[in-house]
Amino acid sequence: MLTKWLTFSTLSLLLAGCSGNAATTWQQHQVSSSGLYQATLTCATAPTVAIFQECALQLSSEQALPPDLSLTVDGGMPAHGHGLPTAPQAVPTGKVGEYRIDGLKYSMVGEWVLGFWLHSAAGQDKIVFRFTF
Amino acid sequence: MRTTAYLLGIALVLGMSACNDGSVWTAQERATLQSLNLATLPAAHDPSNRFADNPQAAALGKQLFFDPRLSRNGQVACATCHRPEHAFSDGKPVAEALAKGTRNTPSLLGVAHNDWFFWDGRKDSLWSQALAPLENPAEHGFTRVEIVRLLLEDTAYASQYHALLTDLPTPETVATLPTSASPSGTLEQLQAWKSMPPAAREQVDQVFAATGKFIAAYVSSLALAPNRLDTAINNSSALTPSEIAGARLFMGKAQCILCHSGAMLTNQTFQNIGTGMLGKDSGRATVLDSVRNDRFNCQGKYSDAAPETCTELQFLTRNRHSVAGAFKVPSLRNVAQTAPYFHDGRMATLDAVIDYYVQAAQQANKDHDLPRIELSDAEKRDLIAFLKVL
Repeated sequence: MLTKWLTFSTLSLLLAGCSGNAATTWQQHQVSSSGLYQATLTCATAPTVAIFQECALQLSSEQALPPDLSLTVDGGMPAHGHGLPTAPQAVPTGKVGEYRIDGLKYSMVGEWVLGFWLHSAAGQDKIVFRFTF
Repeated sequence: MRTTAYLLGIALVLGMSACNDGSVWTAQERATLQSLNLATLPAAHDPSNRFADNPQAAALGKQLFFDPRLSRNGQVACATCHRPEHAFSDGKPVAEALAKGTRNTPSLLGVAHNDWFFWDGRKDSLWSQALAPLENPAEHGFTRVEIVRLLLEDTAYASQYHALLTDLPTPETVATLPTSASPSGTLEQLQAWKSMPPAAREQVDQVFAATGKFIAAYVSSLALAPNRLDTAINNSSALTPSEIAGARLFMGKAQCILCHSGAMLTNQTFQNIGTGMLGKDSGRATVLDSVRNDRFNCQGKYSDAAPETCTELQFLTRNRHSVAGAFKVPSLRNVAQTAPYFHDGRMATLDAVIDYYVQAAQQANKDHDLPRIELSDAEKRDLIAFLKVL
């Protein structure tokens, strides 16, 4: 637990630009399907196989984020037809638009999609990252 | 002059190639091979078993592992199927003890590094796995109450249990236990279990769980030995040309490494390779609820781990459809010694396994996760030569 907290604290510092180790982090940027949200996925390292990834998602929008906004995570390998090996969760950190991604693993190298469904009373949206490692 | 310079240049290029530690591997191949090296495997660690690294517990676990008295007919021990001379597997398609089982017996070497246990991963620790065969009617066919009675009434075992555990049932309490009782046994055994006071059931489960932990402490000590692959990175002469060609196929065209990655040669996941049987054996999909509700899982009261550290269980997928027909990706270390293959032992030889992958991958409307694989007969031979290195 302490390790997870320390890792996440370090990641938060990196996100805030307070560290010189940004070269070790891995980032992806994407816009939601509706175009309403911009998202940055930041992980402590580039994707690796079979170990839990330390990642966070930062959402921003020209308008205020819906107060009831919640996220679910999904993903998989389109070429192989299988999903993520685990059921990761997006956990609000308390900072506006910031979510810690817990329980994310990849089972093999190749092309992956990692998707975030955005739920709120205002409607649904999605953000899909595509990457290969 | 120009010829001399030209020859010097060629010699320099060749020399630089040879300086690549005399290896036949490219930098990328070396990096990949290094990722498979046993030396990169971190020490196994199971916080749910406080006895995992206890030599006294391991010595006791070894006695339990080889003791056939822990069975209905007094003839079945863990070692009946996990035979040391077969890398702790049994060489049979499916396990045979009190009755014929449905799953192939896996090797136990290095098994402490696994995330999940059984072909469908219905157990999340080695100690919890060790408990299941004891009460399986087709395997040991015993009940936990019979096991506790036997262990605490046997002078040699009792003294070792008292040295490792506190709050053991008194001899008087043991004498009051039913002859045979278990929450997962026959109707009579279940009724006997329910007739026991809750405190007695709790004590029996404590001793039963500890028994699994002792067995796991022993099994955890069954380490993998380095194979020829582990030495091949710095000594390419350790492999024949056919084995080297096979290694390249393993890492490339045959795509084996997609699942058989890392030092254990498994990515520790569950994949559908088309061997599940709809309505009969859906593999991983059928155990997602049972592993989550198992009283002996990592988050249960008999685990020594803090529940929030049980990350594999915490983030276990709930999507049955996504893992229908999926079985655990087995380690390929010692694979030549652990025939037959697949979860039900349906493939007798490595040749049959490779043929299956090549043929299954060609199917139209495939209902599995296999990528398309095409191998010539010569390539199959090379790949099998490499698998025998492992």
